[in-house]
Amino acid sequence: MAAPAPFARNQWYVAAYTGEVGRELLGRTICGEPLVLYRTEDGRAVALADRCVHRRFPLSASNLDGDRVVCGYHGFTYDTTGTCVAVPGQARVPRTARVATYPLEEKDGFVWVWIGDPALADAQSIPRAPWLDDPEWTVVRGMEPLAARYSLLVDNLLDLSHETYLHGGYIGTPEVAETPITTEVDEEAGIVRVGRRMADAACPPFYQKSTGLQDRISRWQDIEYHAPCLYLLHSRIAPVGSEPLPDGTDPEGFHVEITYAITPSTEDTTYDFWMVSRDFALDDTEMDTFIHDFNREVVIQDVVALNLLESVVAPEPESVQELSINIDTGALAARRVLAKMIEQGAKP
Amino acid sequence: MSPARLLTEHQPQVDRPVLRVEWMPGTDKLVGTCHCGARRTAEDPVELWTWLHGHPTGHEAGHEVPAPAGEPPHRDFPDFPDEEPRHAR
Repeated sequence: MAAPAPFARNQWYVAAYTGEVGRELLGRTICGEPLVLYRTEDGRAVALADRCVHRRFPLSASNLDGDRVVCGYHGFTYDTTGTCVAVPGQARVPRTARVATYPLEEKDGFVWVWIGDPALADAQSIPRAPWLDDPEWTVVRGMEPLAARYSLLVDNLLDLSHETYLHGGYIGTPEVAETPITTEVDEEAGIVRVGRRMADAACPPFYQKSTGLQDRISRWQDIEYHAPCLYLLHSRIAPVGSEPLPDGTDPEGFHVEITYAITPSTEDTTYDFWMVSRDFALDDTEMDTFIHDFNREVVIQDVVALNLLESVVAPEPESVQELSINIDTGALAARRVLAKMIEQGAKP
Repeated sequence: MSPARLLTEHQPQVDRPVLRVEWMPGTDKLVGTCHCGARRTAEDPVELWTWLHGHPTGHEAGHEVPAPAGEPPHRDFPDFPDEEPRHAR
């Protein structure tokens, strides 16, 4: 396989969950750029470059003094705009003493940062997942670091036929791999949609335990991948034959929103943010624990597989090629969208 | 509230041109539809995406565009030496 693709610049990426950013300094590397994140005393989240201009010490390993970051090595002190406002032993602060700040937005429980030219950052272009911050939904979440290039996770999530084999006995049943998909690409918006509607399928253990449905089910998997970072899987589980009503309500359906933020860290490491939201059993804390632990097991199955895959594809020569079949239609579309974004982001 | 309604409220859905590939149930066939209306059937997603992204080359709006006669499906790997050739090359 070819070397890892470069990153798509001039795009928004999820750097953290909002709850992860507080009065402790948090270091995250996004698209190869080290960032330090923190919250000011009045609650505003800030992202600065995570290297002191003096001797490159990580600011994330430093200290907060009010809203200022004080380098833990020699005390260079930065305000929220990245401007160095104090250096040790002298009154004059060199004019070039500043670190980059990153445009930052908080939406739907995510801290989004803009990687690229700050002048191009438009908060309106951030894709949304409103159920993550909606009282009519209950959400469990986690984040697993992945020792693999982000494109492997994109491939994985755009082709859910792997559920049958990698996640058999958890979320996979034979029908997932057997059911044809429909794929749509909105090139201008950078969105890939993959739909798989199973009219009569076995109910996998994950949904048996969470919905209580034991017999065969109608199972819909509608993916929306908002490249490069946000992946939404709208999952509907219902008794066989049940359809949403003409007025849009769906009293027999169980809705689960599987959400991922796929954030490239370095060329061969990735932050795998995962969330499971449901519109039933909202206050059931035992259900929270079950869904969290069960889904984390599934995510770890992917992490183990993708880490292994990275270890074998990384040393392979460029001449080694893959073979693609019908199940890959969505992943191929996503690769194309990403390649276009990478090309556009590389333009001066 | 359904996810579709939630999304519509937060992110107005705009009718934009899309490229579509449908896997025909009960077959191995894929049907590609371009935003211009041209359609083509194939058994290889790589070939079909290449044709769709190649718009307008080889597209005739609103018509079924047959795959060129004798064109073998795309194959990424070379044939193995002991394998029967699958397609005329």
